Amino acid sequence: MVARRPGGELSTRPLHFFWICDCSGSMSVDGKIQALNNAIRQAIPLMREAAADNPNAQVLVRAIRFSDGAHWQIAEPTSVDRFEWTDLVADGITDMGQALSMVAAQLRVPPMSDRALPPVLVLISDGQPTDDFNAGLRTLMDEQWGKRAVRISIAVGRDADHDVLRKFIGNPELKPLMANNPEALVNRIKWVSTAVLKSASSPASQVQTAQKTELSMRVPETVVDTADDIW
Amino acid sequence: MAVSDLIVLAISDGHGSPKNFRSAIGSQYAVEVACRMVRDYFLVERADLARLTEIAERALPQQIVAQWTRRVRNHWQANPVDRDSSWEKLQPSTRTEILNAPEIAYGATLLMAIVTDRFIVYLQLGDGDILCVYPDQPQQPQRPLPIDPRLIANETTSLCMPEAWKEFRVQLQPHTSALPSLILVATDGYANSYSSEAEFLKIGTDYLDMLQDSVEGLMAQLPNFLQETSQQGSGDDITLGLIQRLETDSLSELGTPMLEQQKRTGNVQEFAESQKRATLRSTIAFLGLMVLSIVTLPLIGWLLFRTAALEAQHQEQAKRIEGLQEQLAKLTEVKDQPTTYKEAPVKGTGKPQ
Repeated sequence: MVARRPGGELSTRPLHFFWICDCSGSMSVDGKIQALNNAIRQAIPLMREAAADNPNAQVLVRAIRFSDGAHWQIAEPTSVDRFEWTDLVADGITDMGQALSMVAAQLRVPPMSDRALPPVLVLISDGQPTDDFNAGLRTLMDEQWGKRAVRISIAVGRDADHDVLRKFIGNPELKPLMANNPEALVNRIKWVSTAVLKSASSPASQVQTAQKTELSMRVPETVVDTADDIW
Repeated sequence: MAVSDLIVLAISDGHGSPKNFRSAIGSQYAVEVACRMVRDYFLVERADLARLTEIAERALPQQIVAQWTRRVRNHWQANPVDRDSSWEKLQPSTRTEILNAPEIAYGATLLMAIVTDRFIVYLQLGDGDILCVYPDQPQQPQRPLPIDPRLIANETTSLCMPEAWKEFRVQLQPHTSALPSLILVATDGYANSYSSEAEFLKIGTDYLDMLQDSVEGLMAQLPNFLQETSQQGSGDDITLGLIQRLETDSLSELGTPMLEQQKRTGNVQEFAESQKRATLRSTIAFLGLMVLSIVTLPLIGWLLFRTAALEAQHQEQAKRIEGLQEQLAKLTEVKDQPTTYKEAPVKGTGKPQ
């Protein structure tokens, strides 16, 4: 007689992916916000393909926007298979710190599960924070899951605050990705949606270190963008 | 008082990060070194429980790490890294880190359950789980070791860390406390496959029931169980070891260890690496059980024989002494005086203390 498999209900491991998007007034200049909307929308099929490559990771996507305060664009963790993008609109200042504090609240246990894979946080900004960014970052890094998250930042245009974006990453081996035109932004978003997602989806253990979770792939240091810089 | 025999279950899980590209070797060395150290300490050392606890918590982890580090560094010297394709894929800063501390390339965890006729020792470095199922509460397996809250998001402590011996969690439980009916030792891929801690802990009573039904039946199905669990759960490799307490005579209370490896990365002392086909894995697991039985039973037999031989020798000596006493009494023509002699403790009585 074939016995039942021991133990209770099985489950794949959740992987929480957060888009953290700057919707300040400057993002409305030169089509930056439209480029961001298009880039994320184009990346969705690629995210689905990357997620399908590791069926044991359940990719759950959310998005938060910040300008005057911070607000959830997509508040519920949404399976990447059902994830649809709602266009962002740009207007207001740059309350980046508040966005990080709100993300931090979602990384507490609960609602996070202690068997989850490292979350992926992607911060996209074209300027400087207008609120207390350091307090928001501290709140995020005070959370065990915030500290262990894979944190990537994309600097949109030349006016982006690279110091802030580097602090967010918290790993001297990783720099903010630069996007000075729509094509570059699409490329950076695609890389984050595929290579980073695949790396974070791996179940492999790694040695605990003082730095954040390592990425098991090379960051694109030089990307050939054919378009001219316009931002 | 000495330990007369023991059973050691050791499991080691190599890390999956690119910089731990020789962790399969590291995990193999981990179980080999650990088992040897356990035998060196607990079969030789004649000490009270306080001293044995100190050994388990300090000396044993120190020596495991030291001997493991020595072995992996010897391997590093003998096997230049420029012949390893994994080395080319690493970033320069990572290569520098490994050149300064080659043991990083071999990083692995270590989980052990050591059952003797006097106590049980649980020992763990890194992620994974050790569970004990007690006869009065089979539905609620216990963790003999505290959970390390740092070990989330695939992060683990490791043999390759500086002062790794300080990261060990250790518990020595004398047989004066309740004995578990079943001890389970598993790599982290197992627990990560269940939707919650509660769902994972159900394996305790399930395995106990199956073992009480048929050990052979469980061993035959175990590869499929673990494969199904991994496929529908974490996707990670799973290694599982079991020690069951048998309800017969006192020597048999030490139980029989069983081990199964769902895939190749875990390393288990005394078992061959699992093969790809499920039927071959079952065969190897069964043969392994037989090998352990073949090794363990003669050891027990030898101990019993040794005990009997020593007792016979003791009786003969006692008679000889008695004879000499009579002669002495006759020669000196003095009143009998009480003669006292110290009876040396006999090794390997095989009797539980």
